[in-house]
Amino acid sequence: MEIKKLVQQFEDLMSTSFLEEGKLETLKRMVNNRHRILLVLTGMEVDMDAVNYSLNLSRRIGAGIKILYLTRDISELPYIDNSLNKLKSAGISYQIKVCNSSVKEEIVSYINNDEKETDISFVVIDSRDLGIRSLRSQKADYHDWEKLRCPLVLVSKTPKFISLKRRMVMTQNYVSMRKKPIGKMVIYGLASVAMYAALLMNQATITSLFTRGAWYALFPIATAFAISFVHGHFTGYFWSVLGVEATKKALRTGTQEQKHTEKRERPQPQPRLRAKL
Amino acid sequence: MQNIALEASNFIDLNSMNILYLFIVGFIGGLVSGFIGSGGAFVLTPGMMSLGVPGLVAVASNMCHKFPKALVGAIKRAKYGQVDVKLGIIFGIFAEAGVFYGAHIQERIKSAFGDAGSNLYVSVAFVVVLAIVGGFVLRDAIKTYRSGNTSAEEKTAKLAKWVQSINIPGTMVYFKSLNARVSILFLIPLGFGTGMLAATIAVGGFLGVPSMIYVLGAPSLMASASELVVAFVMGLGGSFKYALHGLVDIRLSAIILAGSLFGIQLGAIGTTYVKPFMIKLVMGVIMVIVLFSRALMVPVYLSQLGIIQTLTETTIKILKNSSFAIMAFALLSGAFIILRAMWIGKKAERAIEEKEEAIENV
Repeated sequence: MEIKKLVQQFEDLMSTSFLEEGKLETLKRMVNNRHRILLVLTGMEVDMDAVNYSLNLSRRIGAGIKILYLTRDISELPYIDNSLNKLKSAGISYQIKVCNSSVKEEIVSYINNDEKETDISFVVIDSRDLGIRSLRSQKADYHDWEKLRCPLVLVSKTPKFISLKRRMVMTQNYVSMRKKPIGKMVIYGLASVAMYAALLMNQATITSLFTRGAWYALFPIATAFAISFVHGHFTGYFWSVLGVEATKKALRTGTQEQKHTEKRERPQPQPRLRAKL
Repeated sequence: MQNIALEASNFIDLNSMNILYLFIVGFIGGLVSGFIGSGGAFVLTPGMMSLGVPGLVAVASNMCHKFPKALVGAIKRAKYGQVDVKLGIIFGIFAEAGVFYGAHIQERIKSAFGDAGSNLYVSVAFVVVLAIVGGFVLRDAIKTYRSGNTSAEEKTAKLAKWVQSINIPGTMVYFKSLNARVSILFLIPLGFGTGMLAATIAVGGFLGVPSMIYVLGAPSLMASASELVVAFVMGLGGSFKYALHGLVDIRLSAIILAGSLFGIQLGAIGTTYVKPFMIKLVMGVIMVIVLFSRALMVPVYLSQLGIIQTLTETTIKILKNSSFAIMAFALLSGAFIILRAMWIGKKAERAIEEKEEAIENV
């Protein structure tokens, strides 16, 4: 139960920007309770992104890094120096393990079965190491990760994930995928039905009260606002539940508005005449 | 005032057919409004009147459904970064003044020439404004389509460039939709005209959106989204004015809202799937079709005023029905283009996703 709560809390934090103050503090508190990040490498060139991400994150939240290097053949480690030199200089130790089954299975068994690994806060891996190259394959992969004892952070450079700038957290898309706002739709739907029922069942009273004019004019205006709030929310959730939503590009543009700073005109420097005697 | 009180007491009885009718018209009107920023209202007022709702009550109830609808649409489109709130509010305030002035002119024409005179004025305003603005917008949309450059970024019109280049100290305001500073003095006539048109034909956006695009230089998507803010400001003020006289039938407003809030959400989502010229296309098509609908009514009013030969009852009936049918057709055409564009856009997005996946899997 505690793990479920932690995962949920982590999902919420990771689905927003790391830069927000307050949230970073919460994340630090969470991670300090459980000590380390598990960085999974597979010897691919793309590992560098995950390495950089983990280094930055560990610095920011003050957590340690533990490395699990999964390789098919321990004698062939083509990119190991590339990936690990940086880590060595940061004083981080690593563990190399032969990968007998799939990378996914190795991670799950490493985290879930090893009693010593209870201090891992979350796992960081490049999405391509797992063969996840699109939203679709990511979604399809989700159920396999549900049993993992801690959250999984996918670092990705795939165009679809650009909005998160290599902070792609697997949970980000799952939150939106899993949480279709059915509950909210039902609540607002019921409230909307109740409002309309009250209005239509008391037509005579309402009409006579609302049409008295003068300050009674506020009644229809207030009712219109109330309907727009309740029914507006309901209709919004209704289309979301049906899967009719805006393009992701539009949503990204909407959240990434930049503040405009007005250019002020500077006074022109006055020409000066200097004479040397 | 006595007449007003009489009209207010004449609120119709609602049966399930009436409710369904208003819900459906509301939905289609909302869909179009969510997409192009306005529209839909022009068919709702006559639609309500056809149910036996008195004219003023129909206008008031329509107005009272308009501002909450516009609010929901504006919030939705603001999430996509399409709304320029500052432009919408300033424009809306000037438009509000235009609404009051437009309503005043209407009243004067009505008292001087009676109902037929007032109707003729409305129809002529429809025909003239829609012919000029609608024709221009549609021409521009078709030109963009024919050029095959539909994905290209919209170019700022020459007039807009000139407007943006004028510097009148003390009146300059930065608008994010224009990404430029524009003198607020330019907004006064545009907003005022939009309000006047809203008071006359119930759809100010037919002037508001094109003026933001072609005179101020806003992109189509932002212009149509900011128009929702204008509609909110105008609708709120107008509704309050009518409610002061007890003219709002909140039941009608609520039922139309029930449908239109579904529509406006869908229309707003639709804007994210289409290329900007589609906004112009939908707007232009609706405007031009509506123009024919209103033009059909001109002879009816002219005959009522005794300017031309009196028409027979049957002719008047045929003209009235055809006019309403064409108007409904205009709205349906708009809704059809929007839904089709959304469908194509969604399919294209899915195809790109699959293509990317295939490339990456190689």
